[in-house]
Amino acid sequence: MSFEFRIPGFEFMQTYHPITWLIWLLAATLPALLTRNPLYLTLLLLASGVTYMALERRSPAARSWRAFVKLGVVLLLFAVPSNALTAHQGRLVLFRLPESWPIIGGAITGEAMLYGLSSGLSLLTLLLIFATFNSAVDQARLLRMTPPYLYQAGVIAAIAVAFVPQMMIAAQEIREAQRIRGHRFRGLRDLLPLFMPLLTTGLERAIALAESMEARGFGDIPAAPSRRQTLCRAGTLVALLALASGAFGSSYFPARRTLSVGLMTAAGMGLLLIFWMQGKGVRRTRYQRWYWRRQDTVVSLICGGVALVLLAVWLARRETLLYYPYPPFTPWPDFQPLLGLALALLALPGLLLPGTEKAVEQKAKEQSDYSIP
Amino acid sequence: MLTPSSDRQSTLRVWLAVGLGLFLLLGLAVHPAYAAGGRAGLVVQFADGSLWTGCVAFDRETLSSEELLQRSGLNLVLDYSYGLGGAVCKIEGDGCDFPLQDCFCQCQGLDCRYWAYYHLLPDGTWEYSQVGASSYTVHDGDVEGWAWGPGDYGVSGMRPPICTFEQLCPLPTDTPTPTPIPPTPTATPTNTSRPTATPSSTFTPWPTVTPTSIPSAATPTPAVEPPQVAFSVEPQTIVRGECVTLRWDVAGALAVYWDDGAGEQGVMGQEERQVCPMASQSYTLRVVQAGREERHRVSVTVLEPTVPPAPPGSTPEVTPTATTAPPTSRPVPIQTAEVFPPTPTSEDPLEPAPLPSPTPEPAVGLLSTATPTAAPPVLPSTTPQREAMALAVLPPRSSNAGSGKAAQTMVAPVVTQAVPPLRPAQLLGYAAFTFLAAALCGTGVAVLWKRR
Repeated sequence: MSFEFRIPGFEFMQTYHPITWLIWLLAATLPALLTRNPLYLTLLLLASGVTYMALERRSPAARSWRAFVKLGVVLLLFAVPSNALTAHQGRLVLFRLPESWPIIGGAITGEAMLYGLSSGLSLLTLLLIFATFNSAVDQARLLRMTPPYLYQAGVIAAIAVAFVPQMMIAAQEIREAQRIRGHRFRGLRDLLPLFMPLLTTGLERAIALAESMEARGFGDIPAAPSRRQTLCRAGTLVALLALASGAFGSSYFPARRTLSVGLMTAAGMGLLLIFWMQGKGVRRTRYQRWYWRRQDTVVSLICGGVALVLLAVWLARRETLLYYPYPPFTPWPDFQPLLGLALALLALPGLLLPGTEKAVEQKAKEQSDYSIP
Repeated sequence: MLTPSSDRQSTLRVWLAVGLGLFLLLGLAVHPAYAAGGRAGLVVQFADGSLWTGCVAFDRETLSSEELLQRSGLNLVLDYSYGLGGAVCKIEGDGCDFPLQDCFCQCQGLDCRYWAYYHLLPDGTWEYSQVGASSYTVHDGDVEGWAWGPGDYGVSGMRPPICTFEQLCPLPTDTPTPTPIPPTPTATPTNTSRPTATPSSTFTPWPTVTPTSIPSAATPTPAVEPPQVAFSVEPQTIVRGECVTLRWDVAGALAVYWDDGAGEQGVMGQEERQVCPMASQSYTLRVVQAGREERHRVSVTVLEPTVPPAPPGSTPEVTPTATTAPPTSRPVPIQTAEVFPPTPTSEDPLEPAPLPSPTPEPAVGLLSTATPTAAPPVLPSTTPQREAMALAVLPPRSSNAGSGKAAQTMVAPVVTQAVPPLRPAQLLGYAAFTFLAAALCGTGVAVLWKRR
């Protein structure tokens, strides 16, 4: 039961397969986190913006993420002057404030503004990428994609995610009901008639949900764990301990780095094996399928390629991604056209989205092939 | 609902508060920022134990310790991303290559090596600094110490040798002692001969060796005519493989010694020599007279042969010895620390010729450098007034190993304030960027149009 607003007849139109969107998310988040170069970030921002705008007409959820993006813009507008006023290093002095002024006294430099701009841009880009992803993929369905061994955590996460919109709608209803009864919300004290029903409604809903889940056998653990389960639990513990000690050793004993890395790799593989074993016992049925279409292949391949390129650049030529304007370095950012082109390719999902009519006829075709397993 | 009178009262209160605030701000700002002036000592000990000491003069009341470091002319890399000032990552090659590496790259585990920062207490011991270099204000007579070595970050670290202020910033009557600075304090003369700083913001010239009014405390010899020294090098900046010509003309001295970093040798009073240095270094001329000795130094900057030709008139960039000369095929890393050689004469309109004239020109302490940077360069980005500049009394860096490495890593005492110009390759990149950005905006517009 999802409370998102649906356009009747549209349902939730699949734009791309969620795996494709995940690959796009990875390819877009990597440069946003790895680089602070304002030129690369601008290109990434524009690319995600194109995708976001292409989604806005297809997904009704996109409109609700606009506030998120606006928050990012506000942060950017705040970051530039705050950095310019507090950091007084650099050679491009724009003007000087008297030194005796606390915190803001000193030289206001161009480098400080550029650094603030790059920090704000990286924040805004990340927010836009996540807003795009969230409006493209239905959250509830995404949570159903959790791996089998984590299905319980997935259900709990789905409930938690639906909690906030549910509460907001309930608050809206209670407010309307109180208003009809003549109650006016003027000050803080008048909010009490709103909070009390909200709390009780929330508790009632929670109890009803718990009862329904229990009736469906959720969380039913047999009294005596089987041998296999004990083995899995012991194995998880050992693997986690090995992972922790490997991480500890790699930072505190750099001389034994190979040993620590080997330990961590072995622990990771062990954990994967245990997860796979645990997941084999879970049987899931799918009610609605996602379809893997031709454009999914194209988009996944290209976004995967971009992610690999970025990883390669980060590992081999890290200095092309770094940007630090303060002296003794130069404040003018560097720009590699090929890397910029790779970032611009991230606008592809937005470009390849089929038009509304074509999407409707595609969906109709798929639904006619649909058969209950 | 506000009645009209209460409305007026509240606006009156608001204006009163604003006025009071402005008055307080002005009171804070209008501050007799008198150029009281002062000097501070700086001691830096590097990883190999070698020591750099210097004395920095300033004509403001106080200075931040970070600015003191910058004015000393040492090559610094600071990390400002913590927001509370700068963290010293690297001084002159010892440290971490920020931002390629983390600023405290050698302090990530049990074994921690970093630049420990100290203040000299009046009782002659080092006090571990509780604040960073950007937050500490240096007053006249302070000595700051930096040492690279193992330690406990925030608690303790490697300590440099103790040098008192009188050792680092001797008065003009003292004969300049070459390094190593002796651990025992020398006899300190009285402070009566100290020049009083003028309240104007013009550059206060360092007293030269020939003031007639200063009493000589050490030697009772009568005042002797100072030797006339003319020491120059031409050209000052070369590409590796070229040669420079050193010329000196000394009159009225007992002995003249020339030091090229490899050792001292006695030379004639008037000579011309050609040398071909492989790296940037300085040459010292030691002129000895009865009871007095002077040192004059010239510096030569040697550039790496860079492949892309620099546009005429721009400052050539010097890549540090750590990175190799970039070939055109490889993307040039922008983070090479750009060391600025002393401004060539073509750029500095105030200095007509590189020839020195030691006595009338404001000489740089007792070790007068003959480069044009002895006079304060005009800082283009700051006010045209001659602000306090670094006068580093630079003895040659004493190395325990006693190698010639000292001369090679010496930098010019003044840091130029020019921003590096844009390279042609960068402009091409910017053109590519505008093209891509325009293409993306075009697609955005197309998407919006399709949406209707």
